[in-house]
Amino acid sequence: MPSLTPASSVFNRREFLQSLGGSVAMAAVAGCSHPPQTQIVPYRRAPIGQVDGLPRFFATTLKRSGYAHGVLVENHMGRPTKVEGNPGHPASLGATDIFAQASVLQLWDADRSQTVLQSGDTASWEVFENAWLSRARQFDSTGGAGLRILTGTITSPTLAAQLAGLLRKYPQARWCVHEPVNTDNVRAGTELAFAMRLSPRLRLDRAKRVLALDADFLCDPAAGVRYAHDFAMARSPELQAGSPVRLYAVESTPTLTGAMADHRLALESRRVAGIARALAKQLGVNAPSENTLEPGLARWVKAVAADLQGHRGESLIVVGAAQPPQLHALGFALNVALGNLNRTVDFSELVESRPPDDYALADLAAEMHGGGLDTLLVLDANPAYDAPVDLMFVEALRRVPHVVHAGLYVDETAEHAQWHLPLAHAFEAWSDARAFDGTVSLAQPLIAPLYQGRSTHELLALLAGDDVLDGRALVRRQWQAALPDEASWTAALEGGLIADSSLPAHTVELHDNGLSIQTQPGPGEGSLEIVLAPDPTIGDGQWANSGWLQELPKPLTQLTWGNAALVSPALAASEALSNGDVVELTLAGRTVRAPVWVMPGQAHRTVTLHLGYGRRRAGHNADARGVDAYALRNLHALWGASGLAIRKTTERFELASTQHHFKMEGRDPVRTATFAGYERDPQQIRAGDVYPQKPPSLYPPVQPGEYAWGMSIDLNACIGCKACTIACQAENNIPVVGADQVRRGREMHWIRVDRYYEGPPENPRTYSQPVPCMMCEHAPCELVCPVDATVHDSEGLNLQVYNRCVGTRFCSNNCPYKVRRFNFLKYVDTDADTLKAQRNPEVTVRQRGVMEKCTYCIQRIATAHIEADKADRRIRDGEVITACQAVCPTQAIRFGDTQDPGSQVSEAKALARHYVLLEELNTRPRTGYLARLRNLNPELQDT
Amino acid sequence: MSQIGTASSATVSTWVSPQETATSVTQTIGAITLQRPFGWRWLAALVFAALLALLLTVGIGYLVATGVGIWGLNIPVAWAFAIADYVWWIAIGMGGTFISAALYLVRKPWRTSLNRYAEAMTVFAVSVSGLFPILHLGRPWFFYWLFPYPNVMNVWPQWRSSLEWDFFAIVAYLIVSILYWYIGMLPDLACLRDRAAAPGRARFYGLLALGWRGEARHWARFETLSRLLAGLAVPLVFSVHSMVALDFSEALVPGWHSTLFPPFFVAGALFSGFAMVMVLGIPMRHYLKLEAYITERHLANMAKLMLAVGLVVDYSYLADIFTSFYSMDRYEVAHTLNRLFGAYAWVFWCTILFNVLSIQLLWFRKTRASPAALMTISLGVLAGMWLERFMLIVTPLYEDFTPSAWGMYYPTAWDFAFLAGSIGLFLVLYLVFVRLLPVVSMFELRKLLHQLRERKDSASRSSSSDVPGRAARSHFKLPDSMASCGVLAEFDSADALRHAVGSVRRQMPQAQLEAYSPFPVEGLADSLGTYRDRIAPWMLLGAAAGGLGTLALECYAAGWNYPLNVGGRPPVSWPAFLPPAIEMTVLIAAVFGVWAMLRANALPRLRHPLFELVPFERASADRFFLWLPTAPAQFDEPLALLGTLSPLRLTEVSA
Repeated sequence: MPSLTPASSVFNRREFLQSLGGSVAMAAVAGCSHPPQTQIVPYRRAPIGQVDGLPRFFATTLKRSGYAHGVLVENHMGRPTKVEGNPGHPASLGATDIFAQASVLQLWDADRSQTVLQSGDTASWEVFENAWLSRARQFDSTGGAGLRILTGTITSPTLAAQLAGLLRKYPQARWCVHEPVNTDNVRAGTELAFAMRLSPRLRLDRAKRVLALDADFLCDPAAGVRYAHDFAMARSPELQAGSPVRLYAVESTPTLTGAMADHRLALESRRVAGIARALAKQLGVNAPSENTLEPGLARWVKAVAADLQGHRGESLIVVGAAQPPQLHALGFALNVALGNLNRTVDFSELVESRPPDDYALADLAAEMHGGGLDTLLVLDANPAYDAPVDLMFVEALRRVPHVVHAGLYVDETAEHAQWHLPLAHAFEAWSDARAFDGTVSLAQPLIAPLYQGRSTHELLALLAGDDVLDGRALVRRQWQAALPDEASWTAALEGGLIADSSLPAHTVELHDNGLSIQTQPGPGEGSLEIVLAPDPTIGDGQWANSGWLQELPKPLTQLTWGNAALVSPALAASEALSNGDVVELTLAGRTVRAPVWVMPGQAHRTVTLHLGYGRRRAGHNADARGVDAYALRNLHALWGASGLAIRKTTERFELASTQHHFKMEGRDPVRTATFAGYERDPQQIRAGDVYPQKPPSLYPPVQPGEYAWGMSIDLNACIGCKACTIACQAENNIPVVGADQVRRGREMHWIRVDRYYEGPPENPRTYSQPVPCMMCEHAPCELVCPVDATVHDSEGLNLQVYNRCVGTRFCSNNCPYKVRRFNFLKYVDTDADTLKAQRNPEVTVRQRGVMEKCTYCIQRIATAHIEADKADRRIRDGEVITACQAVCPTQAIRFGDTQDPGSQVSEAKALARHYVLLEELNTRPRTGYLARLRNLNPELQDT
Repeated sequence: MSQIGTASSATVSTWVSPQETATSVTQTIGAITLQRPFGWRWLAALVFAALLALLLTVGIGYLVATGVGIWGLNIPVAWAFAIADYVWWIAIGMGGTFISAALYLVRKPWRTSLNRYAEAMTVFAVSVSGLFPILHLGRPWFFYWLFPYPNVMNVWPQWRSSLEWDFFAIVAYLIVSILYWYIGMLPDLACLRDRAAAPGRARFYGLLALGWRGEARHWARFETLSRLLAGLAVPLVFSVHSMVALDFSEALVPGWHSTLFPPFFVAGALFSGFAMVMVLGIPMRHYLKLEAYITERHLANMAKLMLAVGLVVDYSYLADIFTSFYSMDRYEVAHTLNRLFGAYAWVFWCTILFNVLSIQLLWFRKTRASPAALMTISLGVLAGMWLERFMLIVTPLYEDFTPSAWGMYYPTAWDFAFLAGSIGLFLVLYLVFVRLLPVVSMFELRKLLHQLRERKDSASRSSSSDVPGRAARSHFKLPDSMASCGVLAEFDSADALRHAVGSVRRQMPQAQLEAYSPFPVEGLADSLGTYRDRIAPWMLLGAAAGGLGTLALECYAAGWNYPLNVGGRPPVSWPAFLPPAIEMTVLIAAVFGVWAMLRANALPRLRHPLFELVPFERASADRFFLWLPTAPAQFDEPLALLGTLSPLRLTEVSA
């Protein structure tokens, strides 16, 4: 797509409005200033024809670590404002992860790269094209000698074909994939086990017993949303009468998967393999006899092995990406031995496209250091920041005369590139990608590029001298065979994917069981180990400039705006460390300084540092924030290593946490039971209630309205991923307040996800609890407001009238659940023009000095009312879906009319495990909870 | 005399030095405002206070421009310093009202020297306190939304909120306090008007005095109003501090939700109020040389009162702790343990040190006799009471029901700036008051001295002399515009005036007499003939209108005009509607009373023929006058009659 805007480094209001005017939804409207050149197709369920003021939804695809996530993007008059999951997409099933939610903010991020840069100075695409033409002539003659291309993980068939074409044209050129948070070990494991590169796919919905070996499959970048859904379904006591899934986890640092486990072992990362081997022995997989496990662990393994053995064909062993290939091979071998192959796990041919010659980053770096390279194309990757530190990639970049960097941001790599080319955002470009199961997902632009960005396809076409340069045409050409006619193409675009394009299960044969894996004590045994893991909210660092993600409390630490070295309570005690103490972490001669966070459930000798922080050039939200864990990342110890030295300094750093107390203090906000106990005595959940029946009242009952909205949150399903928090933020125009305000306890999230611990700090039980407004029928907040700024409507909503609020804050003091949020300062950013375009026009932007809180997405209820009134019918159950409900991968949140006994929410509220928070206060909340249940192995002690 | 009926003369004599006379009282106290040059100490204190007040002004500007986020507030601790400041200041006000009103009602003579500055303290403290609830709002410029006013949106306040009740309470308290203080000052303002040498000052005090002349019937209505206002002010302060307490106990927050709070807050208010009376009085009596009026016995009495209410406060601490453990309520117990041992436990223990332990010294006569010790203890009590409010507000909030929401509160520099600045503003007001207005009620002191003499005289009748002396005679011609003529007799004592009134009434029953005195003389108005005093009925009418009217407005607004579901309560929640009605009962009654008094006394009347007469200016100080309006042709008879009554001077007035 040709550039819509003239060469200019400054994006002004006029151009911005022009871009808006030319947005895709207006494509059919004649007379618009800059309509895009192509036609895109709305999602099939959306109303036909644009109605001013009504949002339209378009199916498209977002990529995370290269893998496709199908989404529907809400468009208000051509402005993408909100992302929902695509119900028809296998990786989404209607839900999304936090990154998909944040992608809309990234689109409107004013820090995005806006123009072509030549050695840091503003240039234009024409100048670059001319410069490239002269280089291309040289490559034409040399066959591309000295040309190297570096990309992230690629699953896009179009891009893969383009790259293949380029490499055909320039046989001397080479292509290298660098993904800092990758699944290389999994792939190597399949190669080891099956002598083939394959992609494993979990069928958690079929599993009854799951063992996660250092595997956080619920947060898997490619399939976490789907896995979380399947897991929650397998765990539901209502759906799985009598036989819900039981999850065992062995992990070094607490993850959401570990927090969901019924039995969890906190074990150093390097000792996980020992567990696997002992398990192999128990399962009779030809294991050597030596047994190094201490008796407690041995008992644990024995019980787990027996349990897995008892569920042959419906058990599953998952190994984490950080574990070595041999352990993956062993895991595959065990799954084969348990008869799980093609039942709870199967393998497809590799979803990713890889360089045919396995040209690796280390090879590239060596060549670069050697000085023989002429041109390096860095396509949507940032090796200057995230390459292993021992490759000294920045040095290497200096030795390449022509570095061309294409990316969304002028980042650390762009800083060392002669050319920086702005890439189009995912919502601005045509593309495609494969989902975790291989399903081909199509991406269509929702808005013409705001700046001078072009898509990777367009860029590659340009570089390869392709005769087709238009993004849509490139993708269309790729699928011409599969979708020969316009009708099928349109249908695919409507659905966001090509139907039945998932890759079939591959027949596999075990070659190696991975038992060669080293489990003898290594040289570093006994020393501290460091675990380098992607950050839970900003991933490998590419999301670092997202205010939403920075301020989203990290699921298990509740930290915002930075990372910390997670240490076990025992290590903290022995090193006299407390939260915020700055330590020096030294690994292999390299040292970083990081504040400490004491992490219950952390393995004793493991220190965890999350990747993604310490960005040097990423935007105003990211720069100089947190600690750069890549500074400790070596090529041969990507995920951590033993031999860490820790030294306490006198320095302290105030970390910004949103929660400061993690014990339940006997107040049971999260009520729990075992599955067995609950089946025996369902009433035990509410046994302690003061008012088991309807609580008494001095006041006459209020006449019920047409509907009685209510919510039920299933704590047994909730994995604590916090997608609800960020979806709510996107839907309801919730401002970002910054680290300093978070430290002062002024975060604004309308639905927070609390985390509680129960049991010993070495390995506690961990609970997550989303807390929106409880919509109390006897609302304490309303009683104390002197100006009627918070009142009830006839349908039971506890309303907040921003216009009327004078800001006494008595309502918050009197809210026992503390769900109210106050604009202590002017938090809304009214200066950034692009952020204005992001906001949901259905939701008021709040001023300083007013209280705000969850409204049950009243704007969505109002929309449903209008639609129902137009058709002269009642609102159907499921017609109103709150933002938190929609995004939830595990469908833990149910919302609807509690007066209708057949509604989903009424059914949930009728369950014996339904309870409300602080019921003894007689506030009569409309938001209730379903108790968390644990599926304990009777052979194992409840830890 | 009823006021000293129960006290022996020996007791009374120690409330004011026996050498004092009406003349010396006027001289000494009047001189503070009229003559004493500005001392460097006063100036230094004013500059210091003004700088603090400037800090407050800057703070307010920054606050309004930026938001309450400049303070350390957060969720869960959404109230902290500013609300502690508010409660602290409004409580300090209560001590003044108690002294001026409650002790007046029970006729304690020793209040006489204290009530003026104590009441001034009340007015300033309440004014300063009133700033905080407004500044504390997220949007302070909309504070008037708490006031019910007709508007096209049919939007009304929410009458069930204790903040709404408190809004009415503060407004009523402030207005009634100002009225009570100001009306009580009229005779003294008149005195200063008559003493002021500089015309500008005379005009200033003249305007403020509203033309007060000290006529006997005016005094009678004035006294009626004072009694009734005092009778209203006492329940008002008790209700105001109950409302302040309800700002907390209406909530369900453990540590706030307590029926103990209203009496507890009233006791605490008295406690800190008395401490502030002490803190202001001890330096003032020293620097302004008021030892003759504010004696050590006054201080000792204040100390006893402070100890008494302090013990009530201490009992409340105990009761609060006992109740929470007795209830066995999980949240109450947790809160109490937090108070004793939690993150802010040091605040509690400081409170115990200042409010419980230090006041035990007051059991000893020696401590009570030492102004330095009393000053130290009182300053400690003021600090302790502020800390107590901080404890009561923050400790329940920082850890309440939901553990995940628990969080600490840390004050910012601006939190401290507003506290210091409010003290500065209060001191500025008080220092200006000391220079501008009489710090001791002169007319009440004169009355006290009169009563003291009267008892002495009745004990030794022999000292009174009945020998008629020769009265000085003078003529005075009024400007033509003042068509007023008659005879003015000047006497040196209330007895002489009363005697003269009796004689003239017997001899000339038709005469329209007017008697003027520098303090209210018992029975004088009645002896002048019947007069109308309809202040009480007017106040009853005002009370009914205020109370029933407010209740009617509340029911109309909440039940009929725009009914809303508030917390599942019925639209007409009449029990919750009572507090504003009670406050308005008092407020409107007080306003009606003041209006009725002024109207019956035909005030304000800044120009009056008698003001033209040179000797009359002592009517506001130490002389007693009888005015007998007579046509110039008939001057002889009254002159003859009055001449027999041993006046100091007789003045013939003609136009």
